[in-house]
Amino acid sequence: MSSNTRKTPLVTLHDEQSFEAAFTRYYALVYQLAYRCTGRHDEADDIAQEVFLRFYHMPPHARSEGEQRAWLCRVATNLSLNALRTQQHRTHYEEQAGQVKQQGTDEDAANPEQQVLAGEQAAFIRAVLAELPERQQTYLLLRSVGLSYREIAQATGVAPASVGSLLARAEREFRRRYHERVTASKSE
Amino acid sequence: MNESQPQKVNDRCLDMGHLVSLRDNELTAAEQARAEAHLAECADCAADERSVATSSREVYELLATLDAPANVDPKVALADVQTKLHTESQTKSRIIPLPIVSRSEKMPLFEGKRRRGYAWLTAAVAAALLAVLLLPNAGVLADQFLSLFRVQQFQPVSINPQTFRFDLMTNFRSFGDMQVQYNDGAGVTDPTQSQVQQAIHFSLLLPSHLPPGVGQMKHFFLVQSGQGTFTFSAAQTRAYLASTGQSNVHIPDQLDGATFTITVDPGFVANYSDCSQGKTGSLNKKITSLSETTLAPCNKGSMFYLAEIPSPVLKATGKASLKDLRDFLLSLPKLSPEMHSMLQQLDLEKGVVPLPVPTEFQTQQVTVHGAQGVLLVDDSLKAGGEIWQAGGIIYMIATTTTSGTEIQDTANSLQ
Repeated sequence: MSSNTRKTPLVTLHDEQSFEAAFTRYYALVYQLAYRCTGRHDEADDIAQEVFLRFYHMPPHARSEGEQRAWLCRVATNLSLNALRTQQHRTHYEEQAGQVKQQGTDEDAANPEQQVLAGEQAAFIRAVLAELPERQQTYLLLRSVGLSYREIAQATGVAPASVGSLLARAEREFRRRYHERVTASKSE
Repeated sequence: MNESQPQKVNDRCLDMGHLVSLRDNELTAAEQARAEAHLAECADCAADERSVATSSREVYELLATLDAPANVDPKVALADVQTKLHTESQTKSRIIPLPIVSRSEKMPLFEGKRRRGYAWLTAAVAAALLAVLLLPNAGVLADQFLSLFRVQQFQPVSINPQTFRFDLMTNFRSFGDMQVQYNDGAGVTDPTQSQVQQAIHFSLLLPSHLPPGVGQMKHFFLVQSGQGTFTFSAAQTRAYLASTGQSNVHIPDQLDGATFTITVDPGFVANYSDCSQGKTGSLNKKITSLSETTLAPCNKGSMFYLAEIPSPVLKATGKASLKDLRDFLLSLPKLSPEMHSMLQQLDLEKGVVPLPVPTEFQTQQVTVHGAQGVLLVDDSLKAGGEIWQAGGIIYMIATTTTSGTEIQDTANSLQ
């Protein structure tokens, strides 16, 4: 247990301007993470705003922009995976697809059939993602939005040197479960 | 080498971690040069490298299909967040110290009751911990005036939370200096279950059964460890007593300069709900800030809180014992009746701690995990909870149900 004395952070939020700058710079990234998990604009927006509210109230003691980005992505991933878990518990895959169908139709009335297929595929992939152990979900999500190994390590508390192996396992597990589901759905 | 064989087969062949790192340009220049040199001469590893490239492309292409259909404009969201922050700042300036609300306040029915329920929970948690702060030593090492206290069970005592807290805090502020040092909770502000388990020094227990309507979504908050030191000042106390018309109270000589410490090991609070968003903040602040940071009501479904906090360790480290401090407090003519009652009801032999409970709550002694606990229910607030101690850990649950059976079943399902 460390004492209360911390290193002085290089990146702090002493004023509204720095908050706005961080918000403008990273909102799209945080939103994207949340959307990948939830597939819903309103929920992704809620999560992204919650991340920045936390950021405002308790700014991380980040010593670089990379650490700041890693912190935002970690919080966003935690909240998003929680939302994904709840979504998976609440609705079955078929119901999910139906919901996305309706959204897709609203968003792109010109090509509703394509939207339905894309929505079903996305729900399928989210279901596979939700099956993975939480850490593996996190590694994949963080890497998929472009975080470096150092940032992933900062966000998850693992050694940077082990990120490659952890990603390899997560990718392998994701593929295995994806193809299992594909096979199962074809045989139904 | 293949995917089912991720570890190195010898010093030269590349394991999957290395291949993935190479793919992502995350090796150092030297490592990359060595890896590429090896791939040039090892057909197996070269095949693995191609396999990694193909399979990972598939994974990330699949994940990329989850992207939002269009780019978002942060300006709109920023305006929303700024509005929320503005509203929060307006609300915070109106926050009344615990307990937050009275029964006569006009609030929307549903949210109002809920808010009051949480306010009570916060008051109960804070009061329980503060009550422990006041405990005299149970295992006195008389020569050193040292004590080590372990809560054995709780005895409900009806109190008026508002006067109770006011009384307690005013006395301590007026009788000396209180220094509190919080330890850094590893900077974890939104911990996962495994991070909580790493941070605490005991086995985390979670319920396998939840009251009806409670969501499965868990949010954890670390209660950071810390140490508080209270130094009694006779001069300060004398001035306070004179200003409050209690000049005739005798201050024992040994109390002047006497110090008392309380040490709290890290614990946690878990919040179960259907809310997709976690509650802002962590408990890496004062326990008394619970209401402002974590117990904001969720508008979806029933709520459930679980707290597991090690019993604080209380020591008298100076020339006076904790009994001296308690006796002095009991001699104050203006001590509130509730506080007087609480101090008197301490059972040092059995380790029974008075648990301050607002009068409107119904209480019942129950057995939880073989230990004696207290079940609390308030029908009007639609809230209930239970508190008990086992293995040196104080367990508290609170929820928006008044079914004693459900609360008891939930408490007994912790594993």
